[in-house]
Amino acid sequence: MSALKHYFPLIIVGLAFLWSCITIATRRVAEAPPGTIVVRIAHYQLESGARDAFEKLGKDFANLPEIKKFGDVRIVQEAIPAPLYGQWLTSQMMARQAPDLVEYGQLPTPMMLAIQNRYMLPLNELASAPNPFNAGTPLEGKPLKETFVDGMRSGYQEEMQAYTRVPLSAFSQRIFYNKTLLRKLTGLDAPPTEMRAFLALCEKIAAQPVPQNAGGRGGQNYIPIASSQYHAPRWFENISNPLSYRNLFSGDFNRDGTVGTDETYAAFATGRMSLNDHPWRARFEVMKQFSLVFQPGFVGLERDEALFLFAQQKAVFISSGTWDVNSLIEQAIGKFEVGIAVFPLPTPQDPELGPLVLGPVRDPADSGFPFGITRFAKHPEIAQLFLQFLASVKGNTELNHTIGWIPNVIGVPLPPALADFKPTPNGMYFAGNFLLGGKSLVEHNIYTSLLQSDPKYTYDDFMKQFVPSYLKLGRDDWEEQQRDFGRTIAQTEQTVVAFRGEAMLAGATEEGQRRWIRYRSATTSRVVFPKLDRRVVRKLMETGPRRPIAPYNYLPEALERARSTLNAPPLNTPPATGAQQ
Amino acid sequence: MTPQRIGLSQLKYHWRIYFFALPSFILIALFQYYPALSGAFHSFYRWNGADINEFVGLENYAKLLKNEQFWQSFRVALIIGVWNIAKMIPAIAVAVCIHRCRSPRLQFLYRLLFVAPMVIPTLVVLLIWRGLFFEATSGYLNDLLFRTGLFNVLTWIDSTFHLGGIFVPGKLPTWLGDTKLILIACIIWGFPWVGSFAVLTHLAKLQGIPRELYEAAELDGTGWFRKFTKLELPLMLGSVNIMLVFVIIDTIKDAGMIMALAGIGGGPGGVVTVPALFMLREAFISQQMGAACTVGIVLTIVVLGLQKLMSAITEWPELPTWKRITARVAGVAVAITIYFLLNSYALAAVALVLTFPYARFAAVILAVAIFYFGFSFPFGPPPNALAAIILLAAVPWGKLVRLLKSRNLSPFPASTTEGLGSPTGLPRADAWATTAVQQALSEKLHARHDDPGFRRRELWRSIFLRFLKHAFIWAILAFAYLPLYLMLIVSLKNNSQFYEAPAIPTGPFHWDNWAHAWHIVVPALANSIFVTTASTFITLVVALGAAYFFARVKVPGSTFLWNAVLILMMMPTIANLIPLVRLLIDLNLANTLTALITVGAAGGQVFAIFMLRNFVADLPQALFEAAEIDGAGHLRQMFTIVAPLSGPILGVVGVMHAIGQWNDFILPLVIIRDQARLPVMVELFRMAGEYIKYWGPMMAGYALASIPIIILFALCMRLFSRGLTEGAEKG
Repeated sequence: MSALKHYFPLIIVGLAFLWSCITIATRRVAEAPPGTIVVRIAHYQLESGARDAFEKLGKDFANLPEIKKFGDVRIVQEAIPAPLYGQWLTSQMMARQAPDLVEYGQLPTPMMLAIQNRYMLPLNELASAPNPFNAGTPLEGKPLKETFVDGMRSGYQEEMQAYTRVPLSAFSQRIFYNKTLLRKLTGLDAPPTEMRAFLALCEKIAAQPVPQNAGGRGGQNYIPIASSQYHAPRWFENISNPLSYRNLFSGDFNRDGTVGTDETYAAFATGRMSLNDHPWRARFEVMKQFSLVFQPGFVGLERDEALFLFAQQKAVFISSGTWDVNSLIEQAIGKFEVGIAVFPLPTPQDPELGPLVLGPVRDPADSGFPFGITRFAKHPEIAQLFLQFLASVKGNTELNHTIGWIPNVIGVPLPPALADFKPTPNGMYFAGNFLLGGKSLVEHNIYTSLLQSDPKYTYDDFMKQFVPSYLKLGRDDWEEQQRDFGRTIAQTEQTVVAFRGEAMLAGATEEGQRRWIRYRSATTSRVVFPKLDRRVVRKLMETGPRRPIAPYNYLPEALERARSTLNAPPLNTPPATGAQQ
Repeated sequence: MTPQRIGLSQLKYHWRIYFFALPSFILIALFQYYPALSGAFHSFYRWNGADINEFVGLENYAKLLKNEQFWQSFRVALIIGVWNIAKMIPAIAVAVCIHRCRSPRLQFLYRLLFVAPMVIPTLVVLLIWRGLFFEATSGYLNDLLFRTGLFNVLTWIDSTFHLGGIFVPGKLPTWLGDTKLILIACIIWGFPWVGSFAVLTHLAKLQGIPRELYEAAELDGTGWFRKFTKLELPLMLGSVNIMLVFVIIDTIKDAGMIMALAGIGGGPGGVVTVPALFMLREAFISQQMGAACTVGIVLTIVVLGLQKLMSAITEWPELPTWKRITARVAGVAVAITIYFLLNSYALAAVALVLTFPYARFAAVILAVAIFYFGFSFPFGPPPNALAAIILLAAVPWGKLVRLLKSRNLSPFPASTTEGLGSPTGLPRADAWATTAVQQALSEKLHARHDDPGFRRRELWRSIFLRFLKHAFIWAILAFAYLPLYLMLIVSLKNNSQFYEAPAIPTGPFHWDNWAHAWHIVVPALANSIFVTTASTFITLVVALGAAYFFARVKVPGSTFLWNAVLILMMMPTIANLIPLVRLLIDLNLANTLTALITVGAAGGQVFAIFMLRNFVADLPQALFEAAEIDGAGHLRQMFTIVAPLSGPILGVVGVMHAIGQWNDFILPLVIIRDQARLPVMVELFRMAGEYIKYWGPMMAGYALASIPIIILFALCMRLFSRGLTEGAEKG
């Protein structure tokens, strides 16, 4: 008895260890019995429904006869919270143990480019081949890329000249509001669509105290907008960012319709752009005005904390996308009515912001929820089939109707709850991007969070601190980005060489001539133009602008040259011989 | 026991003893030294951890040393470190109060009551603080401030002392979203900070004080505070000093808790970015592994330098002159470096002044410098007040009082024990030696005790002090149990109940939350139990062999190896995280529990060897000699003498290692891919990151994650106390 008492702690520890061994062993066997093919898929969608959808689709997929022939296939999902996903993805890629399929996201664009370049499989063949799971549907026999609403454009990576991901859903963002509370506090059923009227309404809401019986204390007032570090960008993307659209005219050096991160940096480095410019000032000042009607300290809050405030009925508005519709409605059931509204915008008559309002804000219902196949996939062929299954009419319907998102495949009906999310394909969008890489990302986040969180921190303070630091640390990122662009060349070269090989093998036939044209156009678009673009930006960085002329402003002789080129007959490509080529 | 010296000629009889230390050194070399060297190597490369590996020479260092954010991160660590030192006070106070309880049963009860809140995993406490306390609109902290009216006091303090609008009327303090408050949040979380083993360690030290000393002090009429300062504190100083060093080093190398509280960005404006977090950002956001290795190397150098500084300060009176001169020269070098790298006159001046040979003189210069440059400590007094405090501290009060006394100008009345010696000790001891004086004192004391007024006063004073002592303990206990209470209360609510009344129990109770949490947490719990038990077992077995090697004999190379172990004590493990991850990948151990076990066991070696070696060295030499005469070799001596006698110390080391391993979450967060293999802490961290939090199941999950460690500690508490007491006595 005494010995038992003496060794009691050890016995308990031993028993616990035994239990853990048995639990681990049995779980492993249950999860993947010997001979099972496990295909892993990682994502950061923890909304209600996403995990259920993958669970169900994984089972349906494994039970398909064409999959059964591979053996016992099991789809295992890893759902990682969004704040951890970027770091998790980087470390898994570095460890060469990433899952077979991963969702793209939660890293700045240049970082994501580096990840794609190093660790993801190009999906060009997949994009050009018909989706076998669309058999028996109107999309049967069509290449995969043509079965998407956006032609799978958002799955194409320009720098890699390849399709790298398959976007499974489309997203649109709106304001959600507590209709019951809005009516009570303002007598309105819906918020105004004009920005200044909306801000005035927010001030009116903010002046009203929360009654004690509704959880108010110490003179606490209603919060107009429940926000967080996750929600705030939704407002900025749709209200303040588009006000920078005019930057296109001073920063789009390669005239591709966007002001990329390298172009923004070059524009700032060469003095073509400054934060004193009207579009930038307007963008940041509107951002600041909205920050003041968000709940205090939103920059340090997580997504759920804003939702908590909204669910407690202490805030009237919250913004989110189609991905949150179900979650938000779920929180409100039995308590209040949820309304959906568009983001408020300044009008062209606005004395201060009017000149920057060149039209509506573009809300194209962007394709998203993109998945790619990693180079470390243990079963790439099955992973590819699963991706095709998710992108098929049946799979995409099942996926998006379970989660409650907008489908991205042609012919798949919209879930009924999303009737208010009609896209606006044309309009203004954000022109300019400071996120060159990790260092500039950190710098940008630090100073914008100060601007948003500290009422005393003015836009002038922001300019004084951010710009020098952006120019200094951004240079490192810029150089790294340039190196990354260079690193994609090998892949481009492979493609071009393949085209050239095909043309040479075809000989002096009509088909051969066609292939030579394809080779030359590929060489021009994939090798020459990107290099020229980079060269233009690099030269601009090093020597400054050659002429005091902005993009979209053309010299008369340049316009004349363009006209004559357009009017000229098509180039007659001479028949090629292998030796000459 | 002094280790037996073995020369080269005798080595042929004792060479097998190297095998005792071999497993330990394989682990240390592979998982500690190799990553450190690899980190040093890669710090000269533009390395992304994968395909890019371009030699850049000192470019990473040059960029890092010019990076203001990096140095700012040290400033943040310094502030948090100073406050972490201040946070040691409640643990000392609680230990003294418990120790002074006269009833052994009450003492035991208090010790038992302190166990549960002490061993709740740190991450769980932090997540509770993050979710329930710091939330601006419904968090308990703001609730407390408003209900008690403290908020009004704070706003008054803010406006009166111009704190910069931290607390403004009508504006809710947003602890994690305000650049001015987030640092305070990083400091105050976990109140009342009686966690870790501080209370038990101090208690063990206090138990070593003989009862007679207290009786003698009472006869002397020593008050409660003087008892603390003259009797208890000097005896606790050993453990306090050790903890001080660990607190400072932990602050610099800790990234996990700050990351869990403020995110990898370091909160709004990145204001709470500490050096280790800066490193993680370089690695996993910028994907610049080479630059991250550089941060790790600089971090290691700084920690080693700090450790040297600490030991120089604590051992200053015993240091030989040449070491003092070296230290001063190093100080001047640091001042110059600060001046050129940070462009900070004030900091450079402080560093320079600290190297001055005369402390009081240095303090005066420092005060003048602070006054002149306007340097102030964040959340500390303004520069003028700080300068005044330092000046006041620099005045030689003792000498002044003695001088005044010698000229009969002292404003202080003569003490009742006047003539029995000064508090410095020696004259008093002499006085006690004289029987006549002893008798005189005895008569004086008797006369005083016969005075009914004095006795009444003493009785009330004693009752009041006892009340105060117990009230303090219960108040601390109440705060310490608050997270536990909230965890249990919320675990039985659904979200609606939580929104409506988060702090009080409301029916119906949702026991199904526990079933739900069990379903989620069990796989992770099993992983954690498996990893913790295996790692602790390996650590103890391997470290005991190494401890025997170091304690019993001094063979060629053992001094070098011992120093190699000691250096590791100060090396921040996180600094080598990136090369370690790379190594695990190369060993094909990524995404395995084996990686966590082996790295955990390797990491635990240093502390375990250090503790066990001291214990084995204190075992009586006669035991070993008798065994040797009986023909016992080293292996037999180890199994028949060392192992059976080491039970309590193995218990202490084992429990401490197990708790550390249980709480570890940075490494598994990085290297474990599959949800099925996650340890419980990472699983909880992920649960806390869900979009819609289901508070009930989440809190039930937190509770489930805490229960095993509470049980383990409750089971081992007696063993633990014994081990600590023995350690304290030997120490």
